[in-house]
Order: sequence, then C-alpha cells, then structure tokens
Amino acid sequence: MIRPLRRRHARAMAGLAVVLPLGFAAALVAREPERTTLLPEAVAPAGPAIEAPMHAVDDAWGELDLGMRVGRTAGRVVVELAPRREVRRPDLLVYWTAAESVGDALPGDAYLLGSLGERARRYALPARADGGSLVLYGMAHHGVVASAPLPR
Amino acid sequence: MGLEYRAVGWNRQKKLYDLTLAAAVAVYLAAFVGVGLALKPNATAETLLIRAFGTAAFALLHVILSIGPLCRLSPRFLPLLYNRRHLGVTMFFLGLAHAALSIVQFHLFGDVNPLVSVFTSNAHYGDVADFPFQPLGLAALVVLFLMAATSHDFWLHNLTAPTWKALHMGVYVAYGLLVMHVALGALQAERSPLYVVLVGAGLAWVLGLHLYAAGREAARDRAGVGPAAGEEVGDGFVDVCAVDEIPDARARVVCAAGERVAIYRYGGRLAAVSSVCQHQNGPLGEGRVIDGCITCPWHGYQYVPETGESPPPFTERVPTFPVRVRDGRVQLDPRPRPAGRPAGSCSVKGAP
Amino acid sequence: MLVTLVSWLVGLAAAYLAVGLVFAVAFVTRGAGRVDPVAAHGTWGFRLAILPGCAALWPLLARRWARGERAPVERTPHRDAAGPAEGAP
Repeated sequence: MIRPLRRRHARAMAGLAVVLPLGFAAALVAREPERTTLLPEAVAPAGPAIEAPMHAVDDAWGELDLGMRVGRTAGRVVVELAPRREVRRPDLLVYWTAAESVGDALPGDAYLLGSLGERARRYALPARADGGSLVLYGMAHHGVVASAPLPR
Repeated sequence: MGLEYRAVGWNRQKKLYDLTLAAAVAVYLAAFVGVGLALKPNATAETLLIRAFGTAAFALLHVILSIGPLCRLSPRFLPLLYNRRHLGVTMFFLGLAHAALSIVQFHLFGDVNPLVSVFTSNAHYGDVADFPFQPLGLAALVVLFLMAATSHDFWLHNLTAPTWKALHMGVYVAYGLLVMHVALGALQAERSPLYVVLVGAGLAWVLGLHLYAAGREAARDRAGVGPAAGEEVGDGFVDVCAVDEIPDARARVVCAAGERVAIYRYGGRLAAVSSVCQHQNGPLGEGRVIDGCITCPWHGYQYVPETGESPPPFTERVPTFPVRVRDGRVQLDPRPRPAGRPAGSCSVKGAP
Repeated sequence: MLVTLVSWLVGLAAAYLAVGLVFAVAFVTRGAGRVDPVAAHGTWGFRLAILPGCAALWPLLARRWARGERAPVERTPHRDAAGPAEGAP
C-alpha cells in the first residue's frame, strides 16, 4: 500500500472505531423486550358460542397440540380450536372438507373457515357440513400441514 | 504482469490454499445445517441454509480483514495473504447465496419486484429496533460484487495498483454495513447473549487489529530521512545507517520523498529502489534478494536491484535512488530517478 | 412514493448493467486486447472471469477503447516526484 492509502486506511479505521460501536450499541439498546408466550386464560374465544356441546378431542392434531371442541349452534356445527402451546406458524388457514382423509393438497371442495389464532377461536361450518375433516393449510409452503377427522 | 492472462494462474500453493478453503467452507455449512436440525427440528431447510451461508460469509469476512494487519505485524501470516483474493471471491459467493435464498424466501412471491420489495416491504427507516436491515446487506453485497468482479490481475494492471487498492478499501464500508445488518437483523430476533458476544468480539478484534497496525505503520512513516529528517552530508545525500546494519540479501527501509525506500545489500553491493511493488503495491523492502532479484514478499514479483526493472520478458519497473558508502556509512540521495533511468548501485566498500 | 422512487432506481441500475453486459461481451472478445495487449492472448476462462467487472465498469473501458488508450502508469509519491518514466508516452 502506498503512503496516501495508509493514511486513508488509518482515517477510515478511526472513523469506523467511533461509528460502529455506537451503531452496534444502539441496535442492542433498542431491542424490544423478549415476548413471552403466556396466553391469558380468561379471554373468551372469538367466534360464535357453542350452545350444545357434542365432543371434546385433545389429541386430534398430533404435535400441533390443539384442543378441539365440537358442538351445535342454531342447527349448524361449530368447532373450537384452542392452541395449548404456541403454534410457531403464523400463516395457517383452517378449512373444512367433506373428505374423510386428506393428502398433501387441499381438496377441491375445501371451504375456508378462517385463520388459526394464537388463542382459541370458533368456526361455524357450512350448513351442509356433517362429518368430513378439518384441514390446516400453510400459506408459506402452499401445502397441508395437518388434518383431523371431525367427530360426528 | 504475466505474459498471458488466465482465469487463475494455478500453482501448487494456490491449489492447496483453495482446497483447504473449499473443505473448510463445506465442513462449516454441513455442521451448521446438521447442528441446526438437531437443535431446532422445526426449522425449514431454507431457513437453515440462509443462516448457514450468511454466518459463513460473515465469519470469512473477519478472517479476510485480519490477514492484512496480521501480515504487517508478522511475516508468518504471509502465506494467507498470497491468495487472499480467492477468500474474497468465496465470501462474495457465500453472501450471494444468502441474499438469493432470502429474496426467494421473503420477497419473490409478492406482486412487487423482489429487489424493490427488499427496500420497501419494511419502510420503518426512522425506527432503530425495526430498521429495514435487509437493504444494508444488499448494499454490502453490491460493494463486495465490485471487489470480486475486479479481483483479476487484469484489473490491477488496467486500474493501476493504487486505484485498485483504493477501490478494494470498500471492504471496510461493506464490513460496517454488515455489522449493522446483523445487529439490526438477526440480533433483534435471536436473544441469546452468545450471538451478541460473538459479533461484539469480532468487531473489537477487527477494529483493534487495524488500529494497532495502522498506528505502527504511521510511526514507521514518520521516522523518515531526507533533507528535513536526516542529516545531509553533501551532494544532496543523507546519512542512513552503517553498512553492517543491513544483512545480506535484505533491505533497510527508510522513508524519503513521501514514501518508503528499500536499500538492499546483495553480494557486496548496495542499491536503493522505491519500496512499492508495481503489482499490488506490496512492501518490496520487506522481501529478499532471490536469484539476484529483489523479490516481493506478497506475490513474488521480481526486480533487478541496479535498474529497478523486472527481468525480461516482464515489464514492471520502479523508481530507483542513488546510494553510496562513505566511511562505512550508507548514504542515500532522496531524489527518486524515474523508472527506466536507473540510479545504479555501489560497492559496500565505497567504490562505485 | 417510496415504491416509485426505488422502482426507478432499480430500473436505472438494471438498465446500466444491461448496457454493460452487452458492452462486456464485445469488450472481452475484441476490446480487451486493444486496451491491454497482454489480454489479446488471454484464455476464455480469463475472458469469462473479467466479464462481470467489464459490465460494471463499462464507461471507463468504453472510453479507453474508443480513444485507443492503454492502461496508465500508477501514481505513487516516488513516481510523482521522479517525473515521467523513461520511454513513457
């Protein structure tokens, strides 16, 4: 390196030695406090109430750990899905299908009920629905993440 | 310059260097993905690869930035410098893989041009915690591209070494951008103190090493000779040192006419040349005389001591300085002779 | 507003690189040897290796090619103090 560049290097390093530690420290100070995953129990689930409870299934969704309650309101089937642990997927949609078993692709008759919440949510199924399956569909990878048959 | 340009002028040392580098990168990527899968089984392959490439590039950048100052502090690190450009190009490709996967994962499937989306999907430019860190990474990648794209000797010759070196000092800008890219990006989400300590230690290491080396170099530059600094002894010559202070086949480096001069002793003679190699401006005065030629410690470019010219068929040449011996003392005329008009040499006994 | 501005800048950069790429193909096949005689005998691997740089720095190379200029001699404090080299243009 020639002397003018050695001087430029020394000046650049002196500048970086001031700016970078300040920027680094500012970024650390500005970090938001870590979010906890504690969910308030007392909040009422969103969606229609279940007037006549029929079934409660704890283990229908495998490792997703969702509690499922099924009942009826005004003649229509209502399903409640309640995550018991944080679901680390922000993009899941809940569908109903008449099919009893579901592969990787969304069935053609799939009926969108809504998105899966981080707290319990209730979904009113279409009037024709009796039996069939619920499907969780991931938007990011365009695929079925899990499905569970609906208890009759 | 060589007689013919090739993509890479392979030799045994370069092959060994590149094989070691390729193996180290492959082992790192495999270990990162393997350990990542074991610790976080829910992580997708894309996420693990994005992080593996990103961390590999950032870690390699620390190695690259350490080589220059380490070589100023000890010649033991010179073998790392020899092929440093391949480290830089490898680092660019690791960064490119990180960026390409990230853009595919986070920006490709929207209705906005993915590159536009990098700058606009998060517009909180006034917020520190939520600052759009991705544009910082992309800006660094552009700088690294310019450096990787101009890493061939063709560019050294056609831009000239000082301009090429100045362009490649852009690596410090890229480093600053990447530190902030990591601090405002990954460190906002990953809460383990380990990551903060690792990035902070890397920053302290790089800045500390460069500041220390820069301080030493500045002190060497200040200790000059010449009409202002040295003792003028007549005819414009200045006193430098005793003849016996220069070991055979080695040089005494002094600062004169605004730059370092290498006064070489070889086989009973003395000659002085500008200590700036024409190839990459390496420190000629820290080399040795091999096969009768001053040999640059960086890449082995050679110059005949008396003429400052590379032996034919090579065409490099550097300015030279008249040198003489009086009463066992080496004396230098600090007015450089243009390249191609040699200042000649003298005997260590004082005869011309 | 931001999207419009950034779209403009990205479009500008893409146009610059597109022109550069067309220039670079011509330069590495014909121009490189004119600007730097050593490059006239360069291997195809070499031509491929300098192509991205030619696409990025095309205004500089285009000017040199058009004016028939060669690479300048580097500037260092010693060369500046010594004056023009022997045999230099």
